[in-house]
Amino acid sequence: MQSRKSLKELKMLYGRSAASILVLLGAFCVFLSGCEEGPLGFDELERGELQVHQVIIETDTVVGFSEQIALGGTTTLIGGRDSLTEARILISIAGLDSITAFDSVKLCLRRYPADEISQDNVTFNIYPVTADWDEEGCTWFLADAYSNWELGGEFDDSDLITEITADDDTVELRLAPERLDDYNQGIILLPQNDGFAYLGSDEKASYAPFILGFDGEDTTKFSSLAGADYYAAIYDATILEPYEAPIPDTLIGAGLAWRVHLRFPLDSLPQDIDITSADLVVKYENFFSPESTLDFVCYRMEEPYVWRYSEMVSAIAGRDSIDVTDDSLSISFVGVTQFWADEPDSNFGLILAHSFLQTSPSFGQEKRIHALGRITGTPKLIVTYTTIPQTRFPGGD
Amino acid sequence: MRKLIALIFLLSSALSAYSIFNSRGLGGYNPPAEFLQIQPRHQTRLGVGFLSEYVYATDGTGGQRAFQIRPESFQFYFPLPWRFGLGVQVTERFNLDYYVESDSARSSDYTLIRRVKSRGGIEGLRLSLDKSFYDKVYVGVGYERLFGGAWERWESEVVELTETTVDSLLYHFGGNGVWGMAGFKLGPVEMRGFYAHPFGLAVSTEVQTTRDSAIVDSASCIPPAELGGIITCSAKRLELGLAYIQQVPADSTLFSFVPGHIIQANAGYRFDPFILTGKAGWKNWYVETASGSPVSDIYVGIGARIPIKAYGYGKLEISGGLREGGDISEYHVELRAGLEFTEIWGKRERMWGG
Repeated sequence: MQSRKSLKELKMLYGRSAASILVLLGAFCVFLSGCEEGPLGFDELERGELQVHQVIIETDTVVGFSEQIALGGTTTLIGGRDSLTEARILISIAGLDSITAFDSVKLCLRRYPADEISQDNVTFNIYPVTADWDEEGCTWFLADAYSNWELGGEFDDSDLITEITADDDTVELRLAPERLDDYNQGIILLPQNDGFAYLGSDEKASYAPFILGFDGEDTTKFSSLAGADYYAAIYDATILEPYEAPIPDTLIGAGLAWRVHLRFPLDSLPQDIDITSADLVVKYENFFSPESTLDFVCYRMEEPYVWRYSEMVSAIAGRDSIDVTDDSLSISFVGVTQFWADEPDSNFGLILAHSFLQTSPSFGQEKRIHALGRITGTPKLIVTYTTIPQTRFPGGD
Repeated sequence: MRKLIALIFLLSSALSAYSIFNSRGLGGYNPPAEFLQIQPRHQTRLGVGFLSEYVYATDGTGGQRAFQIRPESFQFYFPLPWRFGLGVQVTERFNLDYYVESDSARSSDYTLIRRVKSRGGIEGLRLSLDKSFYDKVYVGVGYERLFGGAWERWESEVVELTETTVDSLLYHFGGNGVWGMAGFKLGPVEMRGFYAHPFGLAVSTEVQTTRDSAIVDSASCIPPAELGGIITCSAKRLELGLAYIQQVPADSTLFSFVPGHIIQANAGYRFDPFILTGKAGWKNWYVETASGSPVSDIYVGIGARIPIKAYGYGKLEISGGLREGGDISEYHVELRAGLEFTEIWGKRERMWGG
């Protein structure tokens, strides 16, 4: 009996001791696992250089997509000028035969609200256009897609129709019945002072121009639907004087037409490196913009550059937002540069543009003109990299 | 399969690594058990062992502490008729666990810090067939298959850019070796000599970078051969032993091996029902430091074999020592724990643990 009791006590004692030992061992492990790691022993590896390399690479290709574009399909009519360019507005009105049925008729142009975009008060002289022109194809050089005309459009500058100033949300132009032929042929709005005004075009639903007829107390809005009692269809376009950029400069803007293709030769980069930073640095001068900031995006080319038919990766490779007064932009795209370093044959370059490139697919990208500037100097790609570690067991014996 | 290996390495990376010198050569060398002690061969044995190790490394100015737990060995021995015996053993032959970190290095207006963490090792699957003649003469031969892998994680931090890139190097090992052992027993004295001859060890390297590209490199080298002997002397309750191993380098352009040496004294005392064990040893590594200094290790340990009724033994050992090479010193403490199941066929009817 005594011996059984002693055995039981021993077992209890042994069990407690075992539990205590386990707890102590556990605490010991937890204590030890809080390891301190410091700079020690790297020299023993004898591999892996301790150096960050930096290279500055300049473009071997800079291509502006187009300096001449037809802006008849744009949603915005830009009118104005500065020291670099001039934007003129063309308007024609089809129909309007019932103009004589009213006491007076007004063409109402809608200016973008001041709280939506910043712009200037611009005064325009209006002259009759003397050559046929096409809304979709006219440019500073062309009356339509094929016919040259005088630079900036052919008009009779001795026949001033009137003068208007875009200084309010709605700008009214009184239409005289005796000038119906001129309205059908078209009128041109020539800016008379510096600055730019932004008007809604006939493609812009919310700020599209319209025509009102007044007959005593009655007001009638003309309809653009063919066969309507009071039919009048408005066509409009902006023609923009191409900026004659110095040789190294390139126009850049929003929309397909003013994308810029850049390519950097990365042959100077060694193989098997880790890119730690890659910054595209572009000197930039703002041309005009309705907003106080500019958003730039770049896309990686999937295939060799073939002008407007170029294929690019849909995902944005990098972006930057700068103030319009800034003189440079910087876009980081480490991943793309790493990809090009690993796959040199895939280096087809990139496309840089203002970020409105894909904001409104329903209007077609090439029809957007929202901002314009110029790239000054040569874009640079500043790359830092480290070499990847050498294997512990290099090939050989 | 490689993902599984990587996952295992990742999980094990929660525990910090130890000897900095494992970054040299093929890693830290571990001799197989039968090269340090004469193993009993009259009973069936199944043993597993685990190792936990704490290391404090210092170069006199900075220090690192590291702690790790890992399985160390698996052993099986089965006596066959006519005094033959069959052995199977899986043990880590070269350990590749380490952590090193560089000082801040400045170039091109940028500061770079590199941290390298390695996990894994070269394992050995050892198959042996041995025989004794009249319990006096012993001969044995064995085949060893080297296998395993290691994962090096390189972290490169550019301080000014707050950018860190991570590269991984995965090593896959495969190789073969043979060994032979012979000895005799004269009364209380038993002696054995052995020689292990390695063939080529093939290593394939896979480089995985941040962008997930891979480059494969292949190399081969010949690990050092192992040559040595053991002598033991048994009294009624006391057993003393002395083992010597020399690592003989083969010509290799891949590594500069030097002759390595291990001298270890073992002792056992039967203190019923326990067996108390002790050891003391000196190890001179088969590789040198980057500056050409030898790496040496001196250590002592005590332990016990604790009988577990009807099963076998539990093993517990604590050891510690000082490892030195160049400016770096490592104070290490190990705790080994293991279980050994034994069975004498013909004297019992039960199966394992029954």
